[in-house]
Amino acid sequence: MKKTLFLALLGTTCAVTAAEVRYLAPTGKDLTVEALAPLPKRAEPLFNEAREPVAVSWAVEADAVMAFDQTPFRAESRQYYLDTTAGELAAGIEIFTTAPGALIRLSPAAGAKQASLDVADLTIKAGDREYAAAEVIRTFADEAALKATGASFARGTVAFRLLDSVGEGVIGLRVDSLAKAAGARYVVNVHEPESNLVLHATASRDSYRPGTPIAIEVGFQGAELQASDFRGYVSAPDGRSVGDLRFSTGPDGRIFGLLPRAGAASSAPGLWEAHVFADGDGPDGRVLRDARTAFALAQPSGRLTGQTGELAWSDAGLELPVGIEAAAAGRFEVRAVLFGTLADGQLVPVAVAHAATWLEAGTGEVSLSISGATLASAGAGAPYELRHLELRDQSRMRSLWRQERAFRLVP
Amino acid sequence: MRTRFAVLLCALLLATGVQAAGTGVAFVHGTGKQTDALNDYWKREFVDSVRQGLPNSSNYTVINCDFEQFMWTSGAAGCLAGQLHGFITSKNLDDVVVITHSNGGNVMRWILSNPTWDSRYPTIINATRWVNALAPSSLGTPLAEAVTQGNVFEQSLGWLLGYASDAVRMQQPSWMAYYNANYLLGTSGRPSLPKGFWNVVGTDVETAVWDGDSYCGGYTLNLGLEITQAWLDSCSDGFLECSSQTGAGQTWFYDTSRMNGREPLSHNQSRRKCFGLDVILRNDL
Repeated sequence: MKKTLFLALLGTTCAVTAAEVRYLAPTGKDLTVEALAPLPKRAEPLFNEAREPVAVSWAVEADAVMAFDQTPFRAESRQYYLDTTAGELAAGIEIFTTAPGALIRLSPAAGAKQASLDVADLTIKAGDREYAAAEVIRTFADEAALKATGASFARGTVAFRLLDSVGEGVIGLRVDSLAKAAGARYVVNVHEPESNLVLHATASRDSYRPGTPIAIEVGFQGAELQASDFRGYVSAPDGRSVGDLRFSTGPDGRIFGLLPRAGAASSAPGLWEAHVFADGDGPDGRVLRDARTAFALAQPSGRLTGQTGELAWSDAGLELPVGIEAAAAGRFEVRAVLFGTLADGQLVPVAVAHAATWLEAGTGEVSLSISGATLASAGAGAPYELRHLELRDQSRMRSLWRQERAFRLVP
Repeated sequence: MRTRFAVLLCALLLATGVQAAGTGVAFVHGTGKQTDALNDYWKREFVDSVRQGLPNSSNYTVINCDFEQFMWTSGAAGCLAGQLHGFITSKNLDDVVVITHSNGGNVMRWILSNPTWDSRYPTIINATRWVNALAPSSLGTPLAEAVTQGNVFEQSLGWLLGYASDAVRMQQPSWMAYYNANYLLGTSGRPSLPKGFWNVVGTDVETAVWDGDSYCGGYTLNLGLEITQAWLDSCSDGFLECSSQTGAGQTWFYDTSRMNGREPLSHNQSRRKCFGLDVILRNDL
């Protein structure tokens, strides 16, 4: 299918026909901002300071799927982590497994002196027997092999997978060669790809505002865990912990972890995370699981005003200036999908339009443009609706506004 | 199929400076900071083989950028845009096939999904015929989460395992879910990308010592991938699950359906001259 991207010159239109523009009120499903608060005075990084306005549009098929699903991500975990030390590993630690074939990874903590481990350094205990690791592991990857995967494993990391014949339950792990590095911190990751015991964690939204509650729903497949079996916390993009999640069971039996009030937004780039830890009784013994999921948290730096400039509409196309209020100067983008009306009255997508420009603090406009050729080639016409309208702050990488039905354009 | 660039706005033609027709190919690497991707990332034999499919085999470029950064930064997408824009305008190209590998697909998809971010982006998009995305990291990978996991439960500043660059953090599945839903196009339920994004999917890692095919792309590299595959679904190239590789755009082919000897492509092999991949890409030009 041909896709032709039209680059519009803002403000260059010919004979125009006035038309009515009706703003459609947001619903509860939309992400909006009622009022803007001043942004913190501290300097924050701006990712885009380009001043040139850019507006583009392209045609889409009438049967194009435009669901804009905002269903939050559901994290799943069959693994957990243990804090330990080199001395504890040298003395021997217990690992709790719920299925054969566990994959075990040893990593020195950041800053710890890395000891070069070999499979010969490991002793595995299963039941009453001790085994040299080489007898009971399927695959062993040293630091070099793991590094070569490009997966950024820590220096000194080794990983191995147990043979299924080792079974499950409590597994002993001893690393004699670490005795001399007793105080060094290590992290043990136990991943159980064959286990049916899975921790789920889902945030209630993918975007939050400062000061609003953050709710994380947790579930456990394969075991009946209680709210008291869960712990967790929320971290900012810079890794800073901002508060614990308090877990409770609702009337419907669902378990949620709640941080009642999200803190101030962070200027560090990236997403916030909820970290969840489960420690409970599975069908055959203790089960441990860790999971985390990400979401955005940002103070709005702009909002739609619901106002527009005069709609320019002619054979050359249409251009709609969308009113924006900016809390601070930045490059703001509006994007939307133009839906047209078929002969039977059904609304179908016609074109996608994006436009961005630099705005100073205060009120301004960003103009969406769609070419006459695109409108003419579509099987659907007026009245139109601008749907799936989004406002972004490109300078601060913030998604500010999402409105499923925004404007109705009637000739 | 050629895609023409055209502007029609009240009889005003938009001058783009691109007037002569020309076909080219660009190679976009994955996560990492590259200064000599031709020799370090792709290997010269692979690039030289692929570019023989061009009418003018000198119309190629191998991108070198810092894809350790978040995809939207000046060092990542900004760098990619600068090199692609320069390539297109200096050689007067209007038909460029962009070949990406792994996270390079995400950075290219950022450009395709955010055409207003930078005034160079529309020129790049209009000159792009399509993207051939080799093992793209479109939905991220559980391995990215595995290498950034901190300690168990501490109220104080969490510490990170490994050297989790911003790009690695970004490729955690929950992070990519957010960016796919809010900033990127082409995934299920979202508007499609303005140009084709065609996935080549790697489905397995073979590390049999006695099988010479395991050595294509480097045997040591493949052994590590067999461990990491345990974190992934049964269908994976050792770094990315098949579901991630097919998460955006459209699937061109799965490796075993087209590779010589029906060989699978591990994550390293999908950027190398293995099992005829170079010939397929050459013929696609």
